[in-house]
Formats: sequence, C-alpha cells, structure tokens
Amino acid sequence: MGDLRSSVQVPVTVLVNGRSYTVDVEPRLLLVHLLRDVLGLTGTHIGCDTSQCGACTVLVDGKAVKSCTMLAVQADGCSVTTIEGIGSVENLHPVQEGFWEKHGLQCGFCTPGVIMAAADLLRQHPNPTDEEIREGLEGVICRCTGYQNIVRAVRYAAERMQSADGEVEVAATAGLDRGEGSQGGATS
Amino acid sequence: MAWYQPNRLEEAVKQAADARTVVVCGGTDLFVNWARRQGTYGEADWMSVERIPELQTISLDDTTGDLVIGAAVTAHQIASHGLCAAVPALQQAARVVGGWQIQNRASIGGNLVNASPAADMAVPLVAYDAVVALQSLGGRRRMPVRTFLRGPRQTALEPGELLTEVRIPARVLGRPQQFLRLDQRGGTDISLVSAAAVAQVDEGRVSFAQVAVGAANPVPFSLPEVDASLQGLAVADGAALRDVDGVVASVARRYAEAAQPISDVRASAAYRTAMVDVLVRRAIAGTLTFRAIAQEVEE
Repeated sequence: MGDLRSSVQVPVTVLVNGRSYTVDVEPRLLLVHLLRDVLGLTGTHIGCDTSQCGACTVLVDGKAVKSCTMLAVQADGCSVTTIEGIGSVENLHPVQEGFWEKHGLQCGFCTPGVIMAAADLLRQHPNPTDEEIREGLEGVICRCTGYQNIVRAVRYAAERMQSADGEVEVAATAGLDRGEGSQGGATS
Repeated sequence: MAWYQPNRLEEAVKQAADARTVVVCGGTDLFVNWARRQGTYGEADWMSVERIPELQTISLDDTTGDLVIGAAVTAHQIASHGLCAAVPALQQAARVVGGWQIQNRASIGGNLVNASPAADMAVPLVAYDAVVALQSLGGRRRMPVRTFLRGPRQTALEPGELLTEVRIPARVLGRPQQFLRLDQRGGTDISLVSAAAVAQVDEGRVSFAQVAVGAANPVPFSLPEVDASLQGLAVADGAALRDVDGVVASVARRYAEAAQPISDVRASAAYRTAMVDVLVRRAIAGTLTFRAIAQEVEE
C-alpha cells in the first residue's frame, strides 16, 4: 500500500458536533476514519465495514448515513453529528435516556449507531408505531438484545420528546398547568 | 487518486470525458469494502456528481407531463417527495434500497448505472417504460431503461457519458401500480425476486397493463407481448372469475418460463422461478385490486 501514499491530499472542512475542522485528507479516506483516526472521536464504531451493521451511523446534515460507506471528502461543507455530540452525561438525549431506562443494550457495541439511526427516525416520525420503529431501524444490526428493548427505548424517547414539546408549547402559549398539559402517551 | 466534486453539469461532463474518471454519486455500493478494493480503484480519478443542482431535481415536464427525476436524487427523496406520490411502485422500491441510512445516500442514477440484476428501483422503471438521458461532450441522447441495462454491471453508457435524468412517462403517473419484493431479511438484504405492475381499468376492462420482473434474469425484464394478453380483460364485479384467474395465471407462468435466475447463497434457481410466478400474479392482482384473485393468490 505504500506506493499509494503518494495520492493527492484534499482539504475538507466539516462541522463536527458544532466544532469546525479543516483537514487535508486523501480522497479515499472514509468518513468513519476521519472521525475516529483524525479527529479522535471513537464513539462511532466500525462493525462490518460492508455497510450492513450500521454501527458507524452518524448524522450528516441531520440525515442518518453509514460513515463506513461515505468518503470524508463527500462530507466537505457538511454538518456531522456523532454520538459524542447528541447529548452529554449531564443532559442525555431522549434516545440515550431511553436506552438507559429501558436497557436497550447489552454489549453496547452497536449502540452509538442505533441511537443515531433512532434520532433520525424520530426526526421524521415523532410519534412512531412499533412497526415504524422496527422499519426505521432496519439498517442496524444488534447481536445481543433481540431488539425488544431497543424498540421500547425508542418508544420511551418518542414519548419523552412529545411530552417535552407539549410542555414547551403549553408554557409558551397559555401558561397552563404543565402537568395537565403534557401529552405523553402514544395514542395509537 | 484525484477527487472532483463539481457543482456544474458542464464541468462534470468535461471531466467525465477523461478516461481515468470514475463517476460516483452516493457511493453506497462502490465504497463498500473500500479498504479491500483500493488497489483496484486507487489509481483512478473520482468524480462525485451528487452536488450538481440539475441532477437533484424532481419535476413535471411542462409539455409532456412526464415525471423527470434527476440522477442524483436519493431513494429517500423519492420515497418522500410529493410528486413521486404519482409513482407509488417506485416509492415502494425506494423504501427497500438498504436501510434508511443507505436510502439517504443511494441515488436513482447510481441504482441504474450500477446495473445490479437485483436493483430495486430499476424494476418499476422498466414496468413504466421509463427513459434515461445520457449526456456527454458530444451531446445528449435518450433510451429506454430496458435497453440501457445490458447485463450484470453492464449498461449502454459510453465512455464519457453521464446519466443525467430518468423520465417516467405521463401515461403511468397516478395509475394503479405495485412493487413487490421477496427477501429474507428486509431492507438490508437484496431481493431474491421482485416484480412491478402498472395497470388501468376503464369501464370494467383492463385498458393498460405493464409488468416487470427483477433479480430473475441478468437484467430486470418485461414481456410486452405477454402483457398485451391482459388488454381488454373484463375485471369488473360480476366478471367470470375463472377467466380472469386464467389470464393472470397464464401471464405469470409465461414470466416464470422466461426467467433464467441464478442459484446462489440466497436461493436456488428453481425457487426463484417459482416465486416469479407468485410475485407476478400478486403484483397484477394487487394492481387490479381484484379481490377474488388476491385472495386466491394469498393461499
């Protein structure tokens, strides 16, 4: 492989978790390797390297993609969100909280990718049915859980986000009693 | 390896004329196993066409009424775009191109240029008799998807040509249609067999019907002379069920006879052939929404 090192370098600017980076990369560098090896963000995992398992899922301009099948140069000028940027220990993203509360993981290897895929799912379907959750997570593989608790975790996150939205709306519009105003449960 | 990501179609056409250029869009197929393949692709110059505005649009042709989809439009955009509601079979196919993450990257042009025998979106496009536009420094030409696809990983694309758009004829827009796919593991698997049908019933008779089958031949295929036997078929309530069953079954059988599927790790050729029969019957029945046939086929 040494003889291929002479390959050209291309400047890439990406906004990762709100922070801007400009780095020179070889065009063949995969986005996942930029994140892990160049930027040191190792929360994004490489599971299969064949675009099947989804452990490498990140959000590019808000959309879930498999970062093992996308070049870093294809993300030039894009905003990338990884598991490190979706929430913090003090302030977990509702999906992270759901995985905690509903035990949506065992070994945890696939979890960063599943959480990012679920975040995109909930962006498009804020109140998904269990079937929609399962369809939305088709692109991730978990070898431990059998998916039952992952579905529960995503449903939990959807309810949290719905009730949070309800609270904000209620507070903003009428100042009604927030406990009564929240619209937590799924209606389907 | 050099990397080009032009924002203008003229630039891309000029770069494509260089024989070293490999064209890529979402890259969901080309970049799989990139690490292992870099020896092969490492010396090529790569050009991404995904940021060219002309290739990103979905629109209706003002004069012909055709639905025109830019080559870089993603499976996700097709599945969610309002204009594409007129082509539900294509939307159904777009929804099973990998999981969601793949659908966010994979393009309709890439699905065709890649020319996988098991390509999903290609199947309804063949049923629609859709047409692709190919552009090079020498100009622009059009050809039907069914002749553009030549074999596994083989297309009619000449060196220096870019696939710029897919044109779906106005006559199939909004017509009853369906795409069906048989697979073992849902979206992350590839199809064992797929089928698409588009039809129209006027005053109780079939006035138009076109079928296509995927993953059962080197390319998705259709049999227009067989589809023609559906023409004029009476399917209104009170029609003789046996006659309808018989014609649909005969169409499905002739598709199965014409199929030459491979045996591989996913399924045997014999199983695929049997499933061509089943999926074609289901696709036609579902499209005609003829309850009696649908029930019979479900058994």
